[in-house]
Amino acid sequence: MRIIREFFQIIAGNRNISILYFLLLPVFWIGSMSLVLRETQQLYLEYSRSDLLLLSFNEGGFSGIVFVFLILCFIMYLFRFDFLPVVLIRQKSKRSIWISQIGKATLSSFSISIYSTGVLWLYAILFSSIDNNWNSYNSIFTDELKFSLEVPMSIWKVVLAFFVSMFFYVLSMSIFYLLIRWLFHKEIIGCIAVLVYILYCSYGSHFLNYINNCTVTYESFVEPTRLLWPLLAPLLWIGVLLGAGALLANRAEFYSAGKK
Amino acid sequence: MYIELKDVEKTIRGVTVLQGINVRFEAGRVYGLKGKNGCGKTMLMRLICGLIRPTHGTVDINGEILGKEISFPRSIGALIENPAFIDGYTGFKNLQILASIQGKIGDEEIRDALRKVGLDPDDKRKYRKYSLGMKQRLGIACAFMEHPEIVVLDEPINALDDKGVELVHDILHDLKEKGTLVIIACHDQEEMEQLADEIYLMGEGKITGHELVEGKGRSVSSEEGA
Repeated sequence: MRIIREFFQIIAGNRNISILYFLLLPVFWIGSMSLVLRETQQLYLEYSRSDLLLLSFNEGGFSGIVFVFLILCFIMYLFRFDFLPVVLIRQKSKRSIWISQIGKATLSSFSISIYSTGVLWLYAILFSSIDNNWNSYNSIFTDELKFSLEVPMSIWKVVLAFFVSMFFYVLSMSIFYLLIRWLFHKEIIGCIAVLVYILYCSYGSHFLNYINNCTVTYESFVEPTRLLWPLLAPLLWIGVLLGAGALLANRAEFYSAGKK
Repeated sequence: MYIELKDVEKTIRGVTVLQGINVRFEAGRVYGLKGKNGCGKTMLMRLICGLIRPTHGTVDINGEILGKEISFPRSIGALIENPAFIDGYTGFKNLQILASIQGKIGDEEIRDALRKVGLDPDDKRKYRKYSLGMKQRLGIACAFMEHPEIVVLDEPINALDDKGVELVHDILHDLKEKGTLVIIACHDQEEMEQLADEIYLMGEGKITGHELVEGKGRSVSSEEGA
């Protein structure tokens, strides 16, 4: 247990590990996506840039544990000093601390989403020359849904869906981490809770899986309601987490604040 | 400015760490908290800082109830347990970041505070390279740099050399002159008597005695008849 705690403490306070996240992310994604593509190519299907973006959601390990762990390193680094007494006592109120942390989480989620979308977009440009081929007979889309579109889908719709889903996914993870830290004041509990939460959300069929997975699939683009729900559901979930935090904030106590 | 604790009790997971605390602290005086490890000094300081809430009783800071009307005292500087700052920044940069939260002071006041504790504001060393004594000095500077009305210092002379202890004496004297309410915790009886105007003795979460230290003459009162 001590080794695990120290491991997380090193991650939380280490800027280099946080930077490593940004370097590892493209390597991790490109590696996992290349494996997926190799399998796809064996089926003689054509893949477009839109497919690359979507595959990264569903098969490229977007919500996988490695990705979550990398994001977690960044989140821990971001909030590592927020619970120090010297910082706390300078705030107007406990609720204002919660609000400013949410602001920070939102900005960082936005940055992570921009960066991730950028990395994947670059990757898509390098590995495919077609923006969208969902009207083609031998596209992955047609193979999946057993029919093709009359006109190709705008790639910007896919990019936007990817960006928004990514944003909500990272934001809900950050807020959940913060909520646990407000409750227990220990980084290690926050980390383990997020990992368990994400694993629980990713596997099996239950409420959290449904609202937190943020998965945009081919079907989502055919039926608008199926595109809307994966985007709206996390928003509702974030709303619940925010409300819980706001209620909790005023009653929070900081016993071990200051012990990094 | 005053702090008044009435019937304060604090229980954590079934263990009573503070009980029956009735005490009033006034501006312009230095109060000392003395007692063995685990007697509740740090808990009492955390309570005054608003970091924890009393299970029972109230903490009144100049007419406002802590935890109800205000989350934290409006004007407070504190050094509780070990000073903790950002490892990768210089002492000056650390204080600059903290000062930016309230925006009450500028760079010159930060430089002054650092000079007062014997640190060089232009020192390029990062906090992680600081010695224990330097870290302690930075923690003290952080506590008083914004000219707060209340200053809470937990073991301020820990890890300080003689010169550092002298500086703490001077700083506390200055704060007192300016009408600041200062609360310190210290193990060393001799130092405590030199630093504080009044000493509260603590044991098992209770205030067990009160010593008035004025001009080296002192009166002593204690629940245990000391």
